[in-house]
Amino acid sequence: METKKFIELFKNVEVYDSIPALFLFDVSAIVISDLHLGYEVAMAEKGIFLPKIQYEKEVALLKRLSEFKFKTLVLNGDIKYEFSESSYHEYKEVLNFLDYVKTKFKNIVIVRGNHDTFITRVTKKFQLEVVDEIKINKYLITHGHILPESFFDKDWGTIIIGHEHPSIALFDELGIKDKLECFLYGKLADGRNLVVSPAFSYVSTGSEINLLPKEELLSPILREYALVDELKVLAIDEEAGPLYFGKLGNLRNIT
Amino acid sequence: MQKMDSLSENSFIFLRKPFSREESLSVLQPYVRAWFEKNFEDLTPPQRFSLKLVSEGKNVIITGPTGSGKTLAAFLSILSELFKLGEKGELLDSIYVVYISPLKALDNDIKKNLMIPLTEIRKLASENGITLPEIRISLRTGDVSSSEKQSQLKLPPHILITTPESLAVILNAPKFSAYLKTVRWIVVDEIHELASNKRGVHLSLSLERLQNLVGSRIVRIGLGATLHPLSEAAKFLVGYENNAPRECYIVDVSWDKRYDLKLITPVKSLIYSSADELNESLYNILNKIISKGKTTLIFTNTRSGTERVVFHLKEKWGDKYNDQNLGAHHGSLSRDIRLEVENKLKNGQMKAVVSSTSLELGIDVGFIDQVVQIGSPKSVSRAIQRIGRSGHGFKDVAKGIFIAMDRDDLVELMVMLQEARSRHLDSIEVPKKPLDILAQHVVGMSLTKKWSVEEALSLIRSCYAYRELTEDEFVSLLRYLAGEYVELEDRKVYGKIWFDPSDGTFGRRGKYTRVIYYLNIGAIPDEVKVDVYRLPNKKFIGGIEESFLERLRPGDIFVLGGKLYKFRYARAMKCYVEPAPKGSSPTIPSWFSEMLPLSFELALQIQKFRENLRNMLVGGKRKLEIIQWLRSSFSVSKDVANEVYEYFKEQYLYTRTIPGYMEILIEKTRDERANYLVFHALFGRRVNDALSRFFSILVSDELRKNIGIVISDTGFALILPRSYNLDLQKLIEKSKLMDLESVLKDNVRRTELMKRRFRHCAARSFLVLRNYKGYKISVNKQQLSSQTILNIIEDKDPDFPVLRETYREILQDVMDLKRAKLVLDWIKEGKLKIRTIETNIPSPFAHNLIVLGEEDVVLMRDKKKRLLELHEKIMKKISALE
Repeated sequence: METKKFIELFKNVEVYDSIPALFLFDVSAIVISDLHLGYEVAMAEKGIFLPKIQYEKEVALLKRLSEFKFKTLVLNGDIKYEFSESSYHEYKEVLNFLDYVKTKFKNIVIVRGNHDTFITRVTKKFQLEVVDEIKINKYLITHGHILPESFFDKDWGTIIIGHEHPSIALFDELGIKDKLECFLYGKLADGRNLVVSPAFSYVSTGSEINLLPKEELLSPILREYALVDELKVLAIDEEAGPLYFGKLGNLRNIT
Repeated sequence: MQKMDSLSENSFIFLRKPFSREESLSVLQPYVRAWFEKNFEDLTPPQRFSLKLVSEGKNVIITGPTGSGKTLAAFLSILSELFKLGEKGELLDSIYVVYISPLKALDNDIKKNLMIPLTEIRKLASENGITLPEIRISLRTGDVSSSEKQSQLKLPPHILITTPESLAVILNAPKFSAYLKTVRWIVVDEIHELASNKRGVHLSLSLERLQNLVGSRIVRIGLGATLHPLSEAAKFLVGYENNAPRECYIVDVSWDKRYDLKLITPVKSLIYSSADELNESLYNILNKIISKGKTTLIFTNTRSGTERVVFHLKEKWGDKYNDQNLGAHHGSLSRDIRLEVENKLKNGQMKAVVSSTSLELGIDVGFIDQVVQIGSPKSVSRAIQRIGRSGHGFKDVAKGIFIAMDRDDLVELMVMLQEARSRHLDSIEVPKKPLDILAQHVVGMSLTKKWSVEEALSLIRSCYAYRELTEDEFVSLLRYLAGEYVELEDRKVYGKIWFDPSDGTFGRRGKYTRVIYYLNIGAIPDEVKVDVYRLPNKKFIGGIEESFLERLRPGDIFVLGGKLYKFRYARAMKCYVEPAPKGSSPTIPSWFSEMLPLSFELALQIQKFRENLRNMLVGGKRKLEIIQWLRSSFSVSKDVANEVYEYFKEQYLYTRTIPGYMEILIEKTRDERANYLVFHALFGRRVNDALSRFFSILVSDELRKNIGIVISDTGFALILPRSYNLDLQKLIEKSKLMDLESVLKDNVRRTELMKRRFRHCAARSFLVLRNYKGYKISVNKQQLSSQTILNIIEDKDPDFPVLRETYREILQDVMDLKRAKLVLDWIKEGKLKIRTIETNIPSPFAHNLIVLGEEDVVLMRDKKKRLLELHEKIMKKISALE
């Protein structure tokens, strides 16, 4: 189908269909973020007893990703929804997930997110390192909740973050709201490239980015260093496919 | 509508002839009889029936107006029996009577009212040399302190006064429930308030659990205002045994009361007066009415209406009305405020009290001269119930003044009052098989012992609401409660019970389950509230409902706490606003006010009236004749008759027709904002809710567009795109081929209503807890939208019990699927005719609908197409910007 082509955000940085993942062709890497495994368990602790579907859905998506035969998978933060000092049992989903991922990708990079305080307990078992940022050629990949150490270094040209869970809210003539997850991409104030990926999580509670004032955004990188209204919006929806909406600033004005 | 159930079903005995004074009084112990005769001249009508029946251990339902001595009618024989036991030294320190009412305030009253005979009879007996033990009576409600509960545990009362929720709790109280094993009588008060909702079903399961605990037969006594059909209420009260309802005597003395019902309009012409004139005049009239009597009770249909009336009366006549003599009474007010108003009413200190529904129940309100009802109360039963609050006592004429606020209101009230005079009541129905309520009780039951499915089913099926519960349905609920929707190892967190399908047994699971049960039971849902903060300093100013937030977009203006705010943005279930600029008006109405629905029976009566009047107009009857007919047939004033005549004449002159009995008139029309298909379908909003969605989905499929709907009691309107092409005849033909229920289910899935009701059902089913592990979880702190939870559940299992119950509640309780089906059958069979007309501006009968504004939306079925279209439109707008 025509809609099922790769869409280029920047040269070598592409999105396929409506999968919330970035394909970096020149370095053969796929970047996903905000997996939020163990979400249901955390909710059950709070008295909301949801069936578990997240794990299954994410593994299925990952299987699709593995078919592209890229070498590296970057898990860009918030793999687990909530880490507490709790039982081994709570980590099971992450363990199983990493187990599965290892069979599908040659390299796995784990970037720390704001929820990942205790993650090394699990990653240890796989001899995987957890980093705050990773540079692959000209890409700087970091979760986005803090400014990474190398943010001001000049040797990278594109920064990739997650954390924000961007989505856009659209209203039709009857006032009905539809909410779509989206990629944001464009420039930082200093002219370098920025991509914000949507959450890989099936249960995503995203920022309605076109309704929120800039100062309410979560990531300091977006709040302080990006030309937010100049960022372009590529929405993804399982049924409708990817939909390009142009500049965020315009989308703000018409809603 | 029938005056009374014409045939007595085998188990039910309708008593018409009272027992004699001697027959009744002779059943009492001599000192009880002496006390009665000393204090009362004669037995009241309900007492003439009940004393003997209760003394013989019969189940009985007594319906009658307030002030007819129903409490004593229920209790006198019981007290006599208790004293008799005491005399013989056989009275144990245990509970003999459980009294349940839906209101804590009523519980307080009953306790006070029973203390008098209990003290006086004992005194009188001792004067005659008989020593009687004290009969203890205690309250057990959510307001009772834990120290009081402790002392009840040490020394239990003989009579326990409680609420449905507290009864469900004490059934599971490990020690206190032992005292319940001696219960011989249950008294359920205000049965008309409980029989037709989930709260009542919750109670009826508690009754069966109590019956099961006691073992030997408990006598059940139901008290209430009149309702129809009484057999339905009887089934609700006494339940089933051996495949038949248990025996029940039915005593209806409600019609011994006389009523004086008057209908007025605030202004001569409801249509040619401005809203300001209308309100101005309404307050003047209210002032006049209040000034004439000592105490007036005013009913409005909404809480905000109540507040408005109080506010304006105080503002206009500040010297006359103040906080001391005029007040509001409704469910959103704090308990202290309500108690203060009630007390002042009893003491005769209030000139007027304005209420939405809270004061229509039997709380003791002292002497009321007259009742004023603003707008239609939507049902004959409710009208009678409210007006019945006036008068000194049972023998006085109850005086009611009804004020119509618009023309539809006027017609509705006119027909309603005539129905009331002819004693035609609308009917109630007990909700069938609500799984969420059952879930709570299954958890409660499992806390007491291990059950077999068979044994549990037999208990549950003895409850009328669950008569037809299948084993499959029950087992699927057990599986859900056992947490079978997650892996085995997680069930210790998810499961509230264990269930072993191999031998069909279930029982308690999890250390928190008892606490979950105590803290989360009940049928009344918490709304999901979103906190609202005012910018720039983010000061908390109040809450709105989640579903309301879903509809807001930046710039929208809405009312909160009487002030106007402009919506800026929302984040994680928090809503940020700023004060709206001066002179702006709200852009978003509050949809979910959940207006009282007009009853189906009454709606059909109004259809008949419309037809009669149409025939007169078509037949060329003169104005004078018609007005004469209206005045004599409906006992209305000349002004009222004239206004009704003008309304119909305008409609007739404009469209050359008026929708009549067994007719739907579809009007294709437009105004400056939109195109409409107005269905003049007078069936009441519960039926119209279903019909409107049914027709809108047909239209939506045809046009492949989203369709807005407006629903009222008199019809519904579909809001259509600016330009469209629709073959109405084809649509009507297509409607005959579609299955209402499946079309509705498919549609309801995508509405705001679904999200909201799902949340309620999820809370009642213990899927989403309000209280967990000792702390209260406020719903807005969960940061998880109802939509998200719903999506996950739907994805997992479209037949999940909580989901199934949500559909049932929407289709059967919110809407009236059964009668909507009936209407569609009438269409298919040709009994009901559909006619179509086209107008350039909406006809007079359509005006109320058009001004209501959009209520819900039927989304196009094809999400992909919807999104692509939306995308295209937005890109067009954007390119215009660039």
